[in-house]
Parts: sequence; structure tokens; C-alpha cells
Amino acid sequence: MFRKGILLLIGKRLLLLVPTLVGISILIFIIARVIPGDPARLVLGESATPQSLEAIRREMGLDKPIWMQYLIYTEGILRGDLGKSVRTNRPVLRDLLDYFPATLELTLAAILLNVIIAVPFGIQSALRRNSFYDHLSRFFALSGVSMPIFWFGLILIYLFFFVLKWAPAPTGRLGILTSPPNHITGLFVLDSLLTGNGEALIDSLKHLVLPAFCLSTWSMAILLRMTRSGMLDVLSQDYIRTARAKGLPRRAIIYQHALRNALIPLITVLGLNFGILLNGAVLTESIFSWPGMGLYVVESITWLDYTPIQGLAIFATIIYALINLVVDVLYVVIDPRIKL
Amino acid sequence: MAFLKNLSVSVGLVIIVLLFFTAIFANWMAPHDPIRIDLQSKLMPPGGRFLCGTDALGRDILSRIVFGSRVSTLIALSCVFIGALFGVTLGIISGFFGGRIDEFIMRTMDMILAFPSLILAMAIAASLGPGISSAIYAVGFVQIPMYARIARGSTLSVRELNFVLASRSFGASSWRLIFVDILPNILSPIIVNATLGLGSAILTAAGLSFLGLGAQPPMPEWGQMIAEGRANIVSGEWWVPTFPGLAIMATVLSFNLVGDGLRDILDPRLRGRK
Amino acid sequence: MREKLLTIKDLQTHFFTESGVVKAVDQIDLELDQGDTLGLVGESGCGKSVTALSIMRLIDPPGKIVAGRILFSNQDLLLLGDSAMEKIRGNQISMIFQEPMTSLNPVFSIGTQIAETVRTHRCLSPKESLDVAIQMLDLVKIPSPRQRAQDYPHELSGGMRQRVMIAIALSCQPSILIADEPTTALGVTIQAQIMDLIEQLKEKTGTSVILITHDLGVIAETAQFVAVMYAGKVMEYANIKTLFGEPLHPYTSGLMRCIPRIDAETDRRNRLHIIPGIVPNLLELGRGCKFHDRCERRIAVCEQEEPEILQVYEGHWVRCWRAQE
Repeated sequence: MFRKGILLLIGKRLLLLVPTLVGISILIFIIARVIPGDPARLVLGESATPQSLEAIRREMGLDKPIWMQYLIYTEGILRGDLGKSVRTNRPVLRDLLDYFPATLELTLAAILLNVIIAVPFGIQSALRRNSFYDHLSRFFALSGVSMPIFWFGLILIYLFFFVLKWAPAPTGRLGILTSPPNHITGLFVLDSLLTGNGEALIDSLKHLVLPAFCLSTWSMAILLRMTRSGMLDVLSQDYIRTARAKGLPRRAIIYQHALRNALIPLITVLGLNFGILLNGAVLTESIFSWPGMGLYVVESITWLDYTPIQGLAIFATIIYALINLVVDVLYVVIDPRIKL
Repeated sequence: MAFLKNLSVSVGLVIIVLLFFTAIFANWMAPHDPIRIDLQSKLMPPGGRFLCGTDALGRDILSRIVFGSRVSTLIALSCVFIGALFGVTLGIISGFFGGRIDEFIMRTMDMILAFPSLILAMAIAASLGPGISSAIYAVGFVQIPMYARIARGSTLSVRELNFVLASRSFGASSWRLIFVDILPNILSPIIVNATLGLGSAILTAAGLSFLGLGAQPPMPEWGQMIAEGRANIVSGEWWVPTFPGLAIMATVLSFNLVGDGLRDILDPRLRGRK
Repeated sequence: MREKLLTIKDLQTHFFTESGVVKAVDQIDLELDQGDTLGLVGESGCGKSVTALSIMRLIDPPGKIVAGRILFSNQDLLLLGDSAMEKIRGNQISMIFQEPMTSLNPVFSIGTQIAETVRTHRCLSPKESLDVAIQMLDLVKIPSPRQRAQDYPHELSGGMRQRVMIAIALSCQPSILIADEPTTALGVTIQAQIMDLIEQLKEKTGTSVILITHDLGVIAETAQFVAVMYAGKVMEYANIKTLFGEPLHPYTSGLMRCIPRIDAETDRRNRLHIIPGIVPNLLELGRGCKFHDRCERRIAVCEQEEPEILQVYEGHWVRCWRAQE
């Protein structure tokens, strides 16, 4: 499984990451400093006094030439300084890291749902091409991609909490009365499992279901489509004909020969879907009061504090880039045809 | 199969036509004034005078949806206009001239694509100051790389076709080549993606408005209306955010249906031509 | 009296397309004797591949085997259920295809792909089936079989991949091997090697072969019996000596004249012989003999009525109005 040259590949890809990061920082710099009329005002808010504005201006180095500002700015980012939140009065990076596990847990749950649901449905769709089943699942996929997930979240809450009373109130990761499990990873479900905390486990799972399902909608629709078309493509290949001529049972042909090949391009899709999941996380966390990075930023916006957004943009993009790097490497590892 | 395809595309077209019609003739179609506050009729369930009920300020939701169609149409068209204008231009230049220009432009596009789209749009809209025009610039900007890539790809293939080489051998200038030979032939994928982009723009802009970075009250934008109706859902007044959401979904769905249908129609023909 | 291994009677395989029904195989009868090689010859689209796929029951919609019987081992293959047929494929009847480059699964090693066949049809452990796989690789003359078994298909040349296909096909010692244009996609030297290999293995394992090809030269060297197909029908059927010595069907003799020969008399024009015209569009077949519009010996009745296939001499069948002249 571990082919020679894997480390070299990872090294090369990491190196390629550097220009991307530079580009990202330039873009955010332009957005944060160049576009706004008065970056100082943007940081402090409308109600800032002229003195504090002056102080901030000097601190941010706004009187210096642009290129110098950029260098100072980038140096700050490398130090981990993503600005300070006026609302919480703490460095943005610290806030983001605090809220990151919640977002991670939500996103992982959504990815899990994606894979468990979209892949089997996609396979079945391909096998029963153009049947009623196929049309139905394609319709669902199309609907999933066409609806605003923040609205879908509200509908889910209304149906399952208000009407059916199955789901708990959307107050976040746990009910008010439950205390969080001991912190190991920050992922409540995992931590409860690891510490044997049954009550926290059940409660956190109950609170996770609806938001995870809501978040998974967009990416699920895409994964469903891609699985279907990938399988259709693979099933028409010559080697599937060979497998049939060998007298292999149908199950083996579909799930070993076909799926194994169809899964390879899906890895790339999973990577790209991560960006969609990050987008969706911001909206979903807002709806379900899920205390993740998204909610943090959204609440900051309500308070007219716009610094966290820029911090999130950098943070989220770096994570996205790393995920795609992992996906790239994984792709090379899994496909024996690619030379290292 | 073909029948079902035709059916869905037709349904999509009908909805789009309805959308544009409503957007243009909103003043005549809305039963009530969308921004007039009438606290006496607040939070009334659907039925009677108010087909979709009223919101917390007593405003008729149906009328707000009707006027919202105008807002959404404007947003969608503006975003796609910005995205396509800059994106296609950059893409054609990139594909046509190649070399360093191509490298540079595509690297820039990659940079933009490195960001999750909504988060980038949020950052831009926040910088510009929340408002509907900020949302339009933000969403338009975020769409640029898609058009650039498509335009570049198509330009690269069309560039090598015989009739283009023929024109070049006649000494046609670059501009002439671009506008007369290349541009008309790369329109198909651009149109398909523009249609899909309209839907995507509405979704992203609604998201921005929902978060408070886009359309501001009292503008009746559908995403905004959902934000306003958020609290109402847990107190049982489900209609406040539901109908605007349905409007968004129907609109985006129809753009997706038509876009998919266009893709099926236009692509095989394009391949046949080559 | 040698046993008849496979008997095909009145096979009809049609394709129901949007433009109409294509009778790819239109009432053919064939036989394969134990230990023989039966050659199926014809141009592209004559129905030879479809015949092979019909035997294997690998015809997919819009195709359908609409009639006929395929008798093998005291059963009619067309009446078997899916799982019964799965037990026969790769086990008692095997098939290799024309495109070795794409016929192997790119994500599994070649050893695994051979072993898999063995494991499916025999109760062997993974290690045992891998051993069999390595033996097979040796049998098809792939050097260093133990190491090569771990290679992936893309690391092998076309000729090697076809050998692997043969290894897979013969791994369970089938009674019949169907080879559908096994060398068409390969270079000439490799062609000869592969055909030699098939011949040798046939002797060694006692497998009977159905060889499908458009190349009469290959047939001449390996087959005992030959069926010449055209437009979904068998035009002529005979043993190899008779066919080459005295071809009775104008199509057969036409095909043979098309083979360029080094010792041909040079004349001033030095042109290669051709059969004028092209194969008919199977959607627009007329009433008469399918070959009549390209036939140099046609007479009036050829356009009106299709001839039956008749046994003109012992073991020599021809479908032509003028065969008995």
C-alpha cells in the first residue's frame, strides 16, 4: 500500500502549497485593506471615536506604503495574528481554534452521511438506469442542490422538533442540562465514547443528527450524481465484460470490480465537496446555534465586527487547501496506474 | 426518457418565464404593499386576504415574495453579468494568447477558487459594507473563475480549428479573430453555465442576505425574509420563512433544469460540428 | 464417433434499436466437435462476435436472444438461470476478447485476476488459487511468473496482457475456449506467438476452440472446420481442406482471392482483388440472398428469394442457389 516515493510526493505537494498560500494572503489583503474605504473603521465599527481610530491606524500601519503594509500583514498571519475580535476582545485565531472542534464534528458527521447515503443510492441508480428509482433519486439530487440549506434547516427544525417532537431543541451540541464530556479531541461524540460517558454520548448524538443531515444536503446531491455517472462509466468498460465472462457472481462484479474503479475519481469529489461543506457549515451553524466557527463569525457580523470573517477566510481556506492536498496524495496512492 | 427530459425542461422554462413576468409586473401582481407596516394584521396564517400569511410587522408575505422576485432577478442577472463579463474576457485572453499571460490569469483564478465560495463572498461583502450592491459584487466576483475556465477551455479547442487557422492565414487581427471566429463558437458551454450560474447566484446572495451581509431590511429579498422569519418557526408561525424558501427553491430548481436541458441539447450538436 | 461438444440450432439474436430491429444473428446452426478448432470467419458486422456472446449469454439490452437452442453438456444454455450460467462461464466455457489493452481491471494485479476465477469456480484457499495463477502464468510463457503475478495490467504490453487473458480463460480448464479476434489488435509477430500459444495449450489441456476472425490466413493454419458468415447468416460451412480447396460460395471464393499472394502472376495492372460494394445495412435488408448485390454469380432468383443452407457434399454446407452447379 505504501509505495515508494510517497514522502517525496507529499513534500512536493506541500511545496506547491506555498504559492497558493501567498496568493490567498494577497487576495485577503486586498479584501481587508484595499477595498474598504477605511479599514480602521471596519475593524472598530461605526461607533469608534476619532482617537481610537487614529490609534488603530497607526497600529495597523495604514500610513505606510501598500507593499509595506502587505509585508506587515503577512508577517502577522505567519505569526498567527489574524486580528482581534472587537466583540470578544480576543485574538481571532484563538476564537477560531476554540470553536473549530464543533465545526469539525459537524462536518465529519455530514461527510459520513454523504458516503453512507449517496454512494449506495448512486450505485443503485446506475444499475437501474432510467428506471423510476433512478429518476426519483436524480430528482432528489437536483432538489437538494437547488434549495437554500438555511431554509431546509428551519424546515427540519419545524418538522422534527416542533411538530413531531423527535429532535431536541436546536440549542447547540448538547441539551442545557447535560454537561460536556471530558475534553480529549473536542469532538463530543468521540470524547463521550472514549470516556465512557453514555449520557453525553446519546445527547450529543441526538443534537448532531439534524444539523449534520441539513449540512450534508448540497454535498450529498453532488456525490450522488458523481457516483451514478462514475458507475455508469465504469460498467461500460471492457474489463467488466471480462469479469462477467469469468463467471463471477454479480455482487462481486459490482462491488469489487466496478466500485473499486468508480471510487477513485470520487475521492477528488470528496475533496471539492469539503469547500461546499465549509460554506454550508456557516449557514447551518447559524440555524442550529451550533457553536462552531461559522456561528462565531455570524454573531460577529450581527455585532458589526467584521474582523473574524477575514480570519475565517484565511483559516478555512488553509484547511481546505490541506484537505485537497491529502485528497491528491490519496488519489495517487490508490490508483496503481499513476506513476509516482 | 426524452419525454421526461423535455417535460422537466419545459417546467423549468415555465417557472423562469413566470419569474421574469412577476419581476417586471410586480406592481400589478402584488395584492398588497410589501413594505407597509400594519401591526394589527401581524402573524396571520395563510388564507383569506393574505394568501401566504403575514410576518411580524404585518406585511403580506405573498406581496413581499412577488417584489422579491424583482430583487432576485436583478441580483441573478447582475451577478452573472459581472462574472461572465470578466470571466469570459479573461478566459479568452488566457486561451488565445497562451504563455505567461495564460499562466498568470489561471493562477489568479486558482487563488480565487482556493476559497470556499460563500466565505469569500462574505469577506468581500463585509469589506464593502453590507448591502445589496456589495452582495452583487461579491457573488459576481466569486463566479468569475468558473467562466474563465470554461472560456479558456473552449478557446483552446476552437483556436486550433481549421476555419480559425484559415482566418489567421488571411492576416486577420487578433480582435477580429476573437470576436468573429472564437466568441460565437464558445457560446454554448458559457450559456449553459450562465443559466446554472443564475441559480447559484440567487442561492449565494440569499445566503449573504440571510447572514445580514446582503440585502438589508426593509428590502423584500427572499433570503432576508427567511432570516426575519427565523424566530417565528419555533413559535409555530411556520409560514413566514417557508414561502420565501419555496420561492428560492422553485427558482433555482428551474434554472438548474433548464441549464441541464440546454447542456443536453447544445453539447451533442457542438460535438457534431467539430 | 467423436462427441459433439456444442451444438447451436437455429440461433437468432436481435437488437431492438430506436431505428429498427437488427437481426445480428439470423438463424444459424453450428457444431463443435471435441478437440477441434471451429473457425468463424467474416467481415465486421457479420454477426460472429454476437454469436460468441450469445453462447456466453452476455447479450445486453437492446439485444436479445429471441430463439434457438445451444446444447452443451446435455443442457440447453438458453434455458439456464443466471446463476447456473455464471457457473459455466469461465469454468466450462471461457472467452477471450479482442482488446487486451482494456480487458483487464486496472486496479487489481494480474495474479489476483487469475486467482479470482479459480477461487470462484473451485473451492481453493487464497494461497492455493494464487499458486494456480502462477502456474497459469508459466503455462502462457510469461517469464518470472511469481514476480509478475504482482504486476498491474498497465505494466504489461499488449501481447502479455492477451497471454494473461488466456491464462484467465484456461485457469479452470474449460471444455471450450471462445477466442474473439484475439490477435487483431496486436502486431504481426505477436499475432503468430499468440496463435501458436493457443494451439499448444489446446493440445496440452484438451480444450476445444471457437476462433473468430476476419483473417483467413489464421484460420487456414489452425482450424479444422470453418463457418463463413455474412449479414448474420452462415453462408458456407465445411472442413478446412474442402473450404480452401473447393469453396462453393461466391463470397468465400471472393474472400480467398482477396488474400494477397506473393506468388501471384504479375500482370500489367497488379491490382489487389476486392469484392465490390460494402456490407449491407442490417436495418435495410432485402428479400433475397443477402449477398446478391455484391455477387458476381448472381442470377434472377437471388434477388427474389433467399436460399436455404443445404448440404451439397458430405459435411459441406452452402447457402447459394448456384451451389450445385
